[in-house]
Amino acid sequence: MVTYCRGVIDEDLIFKALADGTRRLILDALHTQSGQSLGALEEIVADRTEMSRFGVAKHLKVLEAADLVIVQRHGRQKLHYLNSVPIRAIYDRWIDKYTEPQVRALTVLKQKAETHHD
Amino acid sequence: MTDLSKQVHGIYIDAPAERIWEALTSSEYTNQYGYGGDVEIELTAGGAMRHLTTDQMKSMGMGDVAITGTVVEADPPKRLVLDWSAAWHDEPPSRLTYDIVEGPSGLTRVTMTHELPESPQTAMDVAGNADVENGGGGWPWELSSLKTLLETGKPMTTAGAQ
Repeated sequence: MVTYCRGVIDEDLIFKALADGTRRLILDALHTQSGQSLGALEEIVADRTEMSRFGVAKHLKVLEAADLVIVQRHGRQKLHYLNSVPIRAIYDRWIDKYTEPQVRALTVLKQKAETHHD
Repeated sequence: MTDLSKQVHGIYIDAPAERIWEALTSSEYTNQYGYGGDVEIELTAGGAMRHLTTDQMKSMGMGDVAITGTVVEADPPKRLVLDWSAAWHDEPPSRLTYDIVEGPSGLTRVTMTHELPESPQTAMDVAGNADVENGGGGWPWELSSLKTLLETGKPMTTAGAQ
């Protein structure tokens, strides 16, 4: 069940949803191409790991409960869309406020290191 | 290549649907969140919509109008559908839909669907990126700032707006 605390999706739901490799893989797939069917997502997951259609559907339910995925119907098809608004909120709450200069510096350092490495 | 031709953004806001409708359609609110600027909208099918630029946007070389649109459907406070064009790109109009559903607890769900199959540059801008300070926040940031304003009363217009 979705729980709310003062008008917000519980942050725990978002962090729990993100704390799983398959669910992050699904989010990445929806970032590349938003609006995908369960079948299409199942194929993407199957390329990386062994999982049943039921398993993928369960992961999608967790992402939906955390409001990271929104389902819209198109005729007979159910398509899954990435909702980046909660990620924005997490970013504002946990990165922007405390550590953005440091994170930015580290990101630049990482990019530089990786460019040199290539 | 990321496909941004249809974007869906959802947010829960602790405010009645009527207030959210006001916030989307009146300048009193639109100057206090997101990119700021007055809005002029004739809330009837076929009515014109203009979102005007702020002084900051003008100093960046924009004209008087940031967004032009036509109202496709206005059903206050539940549904607003617009044909929507960004003045800074020469691209065909896109379809912007707000669905506003008030829940029993007083929490209101706002779902915004933006369909831009023929407007790839606009699509990239409205999808948002990490560079909020330079106006890159897009819809996720705009909706977050709307929530902040309505729930805390704290105006939130940075992002190249003020």
